[in-house]
Amino acid sequence: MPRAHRISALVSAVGVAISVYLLSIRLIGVPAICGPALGPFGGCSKVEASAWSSIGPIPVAAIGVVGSALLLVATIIHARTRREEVLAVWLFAALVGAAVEIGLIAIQAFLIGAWCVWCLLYGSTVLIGAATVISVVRSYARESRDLTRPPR
Amino acid sequence: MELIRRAALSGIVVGVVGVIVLFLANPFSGTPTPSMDEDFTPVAPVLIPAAGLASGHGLGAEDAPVVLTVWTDYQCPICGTWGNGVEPVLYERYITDGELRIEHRHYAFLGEESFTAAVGAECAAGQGKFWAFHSYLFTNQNSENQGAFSAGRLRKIAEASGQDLAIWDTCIADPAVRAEIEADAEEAMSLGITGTPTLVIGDWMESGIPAPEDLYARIDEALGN
Repeated sequence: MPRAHRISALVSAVGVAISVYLLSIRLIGVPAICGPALGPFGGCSKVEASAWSSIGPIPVAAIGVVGSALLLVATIIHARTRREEVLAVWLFAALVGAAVEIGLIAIQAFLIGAWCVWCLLYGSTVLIGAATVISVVRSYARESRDLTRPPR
Repeated sequence: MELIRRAALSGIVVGVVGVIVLFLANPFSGTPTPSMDEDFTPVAPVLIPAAGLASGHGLGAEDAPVVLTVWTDYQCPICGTWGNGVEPVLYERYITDGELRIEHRHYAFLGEESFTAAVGAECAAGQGKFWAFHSYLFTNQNSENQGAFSAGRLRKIAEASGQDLAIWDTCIADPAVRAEIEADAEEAMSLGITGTPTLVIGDWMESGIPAPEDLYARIDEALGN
């Protein structure tokens, strides 16, 4: 598996793990490893208690589980098949995820006024994943140009 | 490459729309969900206040020098931690001595069952038994919008907390009570409250549960200690 795919698969798997953990804190009361000991990043209870921790009845962490799982599956399938359709789905999911994560980080900064270490780590996995898919798309675009260029 | 360009463009558009939806997340968009088992016996709360210490929507002497106002949603797990874990500690530390009163306010935003639970609590308040019902709700929390506060289970909670069921049944069907809960939520938003629990003492306001020593320091400061 190429390096970009390995990085994307790793960060997506970490993203699934973190979002499952955040979801289990919310749904079944698993103890949160967070709090004042983590300094400025220990505001998990404040973030979790905010109106932005769910969209209607759907916890944002549940959307994170689905999103990271989709990125992981798309990465693995593209690494094996190199199909353009799979790359398109992977790019689409990564860009949506990156935009939403930037929004969530802004909400923590400007609306909630607290940082949750797990939310930030999760956001990092999505943003790194988006950077890797963009690098794969750039390589793919270069290869496509080379193939279509007439021989000298 | 055309497919990739379209994916990139639509990804950016959908992402931006997603961010806008998040910023404008409507707290009232919850929908009812299927009931869980109606045949249950509510678990009794740990804290049973002494006679005279639970009145109106509050816990503690009505002339207590410090009033801690707490905005909660009955489905919010951290509010459950507050109600089941922190309130009993504050009760022992400040309330039995007459130093503190906790006043409850509703901020129902996590879905339909948040509203039905709050309506049930208001109807208990009408019978002078708000705090018992309120404590039972937190003790019997069980995930969000999965039926923990279905009509049948709320009625069991009403019975266990000593409500007159005939009066309570009539009350919960009154749309004016629901309107009060919605007005409370609007007031919370107008105060800039963005989550639950939110604690207020005088000019100090904070969302979430502070570290115990920080909360004690706030109360002690308000007491002038």
